[in-house]
Amino acid sequence: MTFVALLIPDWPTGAAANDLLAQLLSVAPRAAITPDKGLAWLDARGLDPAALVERARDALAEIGVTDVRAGAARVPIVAEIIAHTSAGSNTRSGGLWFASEPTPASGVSLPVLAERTYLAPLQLDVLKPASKLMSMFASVGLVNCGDLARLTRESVEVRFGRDGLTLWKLARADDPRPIFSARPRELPTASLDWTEFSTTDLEQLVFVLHSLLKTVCDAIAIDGVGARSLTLTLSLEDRTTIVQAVGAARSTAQRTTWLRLMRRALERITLPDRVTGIAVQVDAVGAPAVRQGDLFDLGFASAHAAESAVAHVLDLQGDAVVAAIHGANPLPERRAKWVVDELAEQRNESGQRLKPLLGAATPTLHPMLFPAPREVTVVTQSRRGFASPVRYTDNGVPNPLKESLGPHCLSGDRWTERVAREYHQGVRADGVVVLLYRDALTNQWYLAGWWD
Amino acid sequence: MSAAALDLREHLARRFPDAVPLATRRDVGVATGISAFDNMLPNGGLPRGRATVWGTPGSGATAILSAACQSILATGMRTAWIDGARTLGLGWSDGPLVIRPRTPLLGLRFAELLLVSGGFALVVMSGIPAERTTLFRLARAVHEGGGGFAMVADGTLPAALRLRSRYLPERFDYARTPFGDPAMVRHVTVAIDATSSGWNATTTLTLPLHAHDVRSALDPGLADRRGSE
Repeated sequence: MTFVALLIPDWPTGAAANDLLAQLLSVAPRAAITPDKGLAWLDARGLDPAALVERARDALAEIGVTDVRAGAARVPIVAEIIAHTSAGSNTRSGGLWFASEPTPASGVSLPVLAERTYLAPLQLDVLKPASKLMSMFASVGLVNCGDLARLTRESVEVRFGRDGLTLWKLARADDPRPIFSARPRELPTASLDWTEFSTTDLEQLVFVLHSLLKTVCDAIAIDGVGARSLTLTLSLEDRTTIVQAVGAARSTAQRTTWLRLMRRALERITLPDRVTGIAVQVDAVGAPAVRQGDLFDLGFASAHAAESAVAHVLDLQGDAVVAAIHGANPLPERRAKWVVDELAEQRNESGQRLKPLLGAATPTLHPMLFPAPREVTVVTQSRRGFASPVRYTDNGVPNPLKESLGPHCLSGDRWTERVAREYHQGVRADGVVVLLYRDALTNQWYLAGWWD
Repeated sequence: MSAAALDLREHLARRFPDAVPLATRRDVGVATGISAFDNMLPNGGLPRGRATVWGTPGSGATAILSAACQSILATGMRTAWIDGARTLGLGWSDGPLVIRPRTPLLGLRFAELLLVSGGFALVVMSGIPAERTTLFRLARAVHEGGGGFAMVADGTLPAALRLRSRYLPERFDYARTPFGDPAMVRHVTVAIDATSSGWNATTTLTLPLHAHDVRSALDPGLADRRGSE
């Protein structure tokens, strides 16, 4: 990259200042200004710097800026110094000194060494060091940029600290400053307008969308990314437009996925008039959700199919895939919490996600709990001071208990939500083990769940 | 059986391989890792490309199928569990892809998507009532995908393999109090009947029962200091 620095000693004010950047952008693809330093920057990559400077001078003259000193180099600091010293011996062709012009013999650009060679005889104050640092340089006999550049990084860092290291880099023509902001990426778009006819037929619209999505999906697939959201724009006969954002649960470049989502979006749109054009634009892209596979993994070959199926599930219901977070709440129905699987990857303070078991697992009966405990009527008998259930009726179905074990008493939490429960493990006549409890506050019996 | 009949049978088996009864097929099933259970099944595991219906929910089906999911995962294959009743929770070990649909219809749709993909060695669906026509559609999906499918549902639905289980309460093992009274169930015994076209088998399994932890400390942040055995 070639940087062109334009030093403007009399920085314009008022309307001219507002127009300055626009004038520069009319001659160069990228431009930046730093008014506090009186500098303007042009990106001369692939352009003739001398011709660019001349065009910039003409453009600036239109807004009344005539005193412009220019410097061009592959390193910003060198271009800046050249612009500052362009009235000196290095000037050429109207104040422009070109440090890295191609060598006529080889036809290739000079290495960075050319900029470094240019800087070497210059005094250190061209780098504008702090006065304290300048006196430290002087105390050890460093006068020129070349003197500083010859030192090793470690010795500079030890003796002059972080600021000294920054100057050492500049003295070696190493200037990593981001002069120009990153250019916003252009995301693919596709559109089709027709004038001979108009339609409201869904299948015809989907037919056109099919072609547009192929263009868009192929474009993003080439970049190795997937689209996260698209915007569908329908142009209507009454010269209005309908804009509909369509999002996918995971980034994907699959046309079939996007066609399905677009079709679903179209089905929900009520068209006030006939459609005369469709446009599809990619709004956001992301890395496709494909994980690194293991060749020795039996599921590797079908990984893509499984990912697609899960993505389809998430498109239909965003929170469908869940994972359990096991907490320590004393109430069984509140102990396990199900969260969307992405969040479950992170452990939180109160919960811990269990790790998958390795190897063959032993089948174990665990409590299966109703989302909300069900009220049941219970016939009890007194046993050691507690009402012990001998039969419960759930939804009109009586269930005699062969054994009734317990109770396990639980009470407390009087400051927020008072709890007092007596849990019983009941074994039904058919062998099903159920979890019953009596709410001691209301004397109501509940069926919390069963073991399965 | 005459040689002509044997030839005809072989010819039909070659011409219509999907019509061959499960018990006489030679393909390997989805091994569950529970040896007594696998040994009972005709192909050493749950059938591939065919539907299995566990017709008696609440009698050890969840324990056996979740253990099967873990064993299959350990071999590097994927499993999914569609929890339509939203009753999974306590003691659930992470591993299978758990899907909780908002409606039963969505659950059936999810099952079809996962089965058709062929990316899952075993898909289990529980807590979703299904009709015969629904099961036919799911059977077609599992046939297309080639994985295993187990559905835990009440009733008598047609399937290539039908499983029914029942507890044997007289063989339960109890932890007892110092007075000798039963205090807690430790192990249960389950009898499992497997039925397929022209074939049936039975096995019994003794399964541990994990009691829910009763905490005396009501504050979830405090340790339960009742002590342990």
